[in-house]
Amino acid sequence: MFPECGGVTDQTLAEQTRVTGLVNTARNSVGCQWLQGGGILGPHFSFTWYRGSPIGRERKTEELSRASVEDINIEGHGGFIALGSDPTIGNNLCEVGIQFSDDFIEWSISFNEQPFPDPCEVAKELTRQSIVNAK
Amino acid sequence: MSGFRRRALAGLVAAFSVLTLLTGCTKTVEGTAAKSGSGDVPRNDDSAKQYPNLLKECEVLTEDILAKTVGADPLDIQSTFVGAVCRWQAANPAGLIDITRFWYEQGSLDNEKKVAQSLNYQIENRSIAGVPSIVMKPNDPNGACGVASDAGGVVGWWVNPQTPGIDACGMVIKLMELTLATSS
Repeated sequence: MFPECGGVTDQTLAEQTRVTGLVNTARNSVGCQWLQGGGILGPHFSFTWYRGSPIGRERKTEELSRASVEDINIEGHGGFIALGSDPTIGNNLCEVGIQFSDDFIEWSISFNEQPFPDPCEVAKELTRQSIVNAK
Repeated sequence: MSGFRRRALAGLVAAFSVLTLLTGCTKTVEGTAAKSGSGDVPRNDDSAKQYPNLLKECEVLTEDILAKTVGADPLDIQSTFVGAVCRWQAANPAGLIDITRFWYEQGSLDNEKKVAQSLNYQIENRSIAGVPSIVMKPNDPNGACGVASDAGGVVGWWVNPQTPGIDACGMVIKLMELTLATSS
């Protein structure tokens, strides 16, 4: 069982992403989405808990869309890490999906303007915290 | 997965396919015109064959219907996340509304109930369009409300308003009625 938002607070999100003014706009049993000022024009960050949904399908979607998708293991759990690139600002997007038998969780980190920290480092750290927070 | 970049990339891929086709057609050739992307360009479409609804599952209800149901102008809705979980944001005159749709094909209503219980949500059992369902209310100052129904595994909707005074439960029930009508 994962707590709401994978147990990650708004404050942790702000620290990890170094983005100010984030609003948690969709906090519910599926996950959470953080948007700057609550609107869609800025960066997008989200946690999503897929229950009884195949990780293979999500990975395939990533493989059709992203610059690279690779295997990853975090805290002993396997999954994928997908990197996305923007023609003007570079590698700005990273999504990490980790499997738990019939479930998987996904952290999605997407920046829209420079400067920003390595999105994959942010996604991996938030994933690690969510796994540790699971009951 | 995040919806923004995917859409932009799909556009790029389409544009590239057209370009390839154009450069390949600088002289007259015999044959039948083929749809862009159906030629020799290598592409991985295994997943599209295995899961025909892979990229359209967020469109089980059109964005026009979504916007109308949450009291927004059809021009004021934007997809932010796609896949087995889809998210949108719509502008109701009273404030912004985030919409989440989930479809866990191997999930169950019982499991959703257990998760809602563990999160201390208020849960109401209810039949929607004749399908066993639950309505979920977290302790949210803006009145967030969710619904899950026992259909195709388990399917559900959440409405998270950014301001109080919006009938989120009425909206998710309406969305579920429309969803269940679509798949019958």
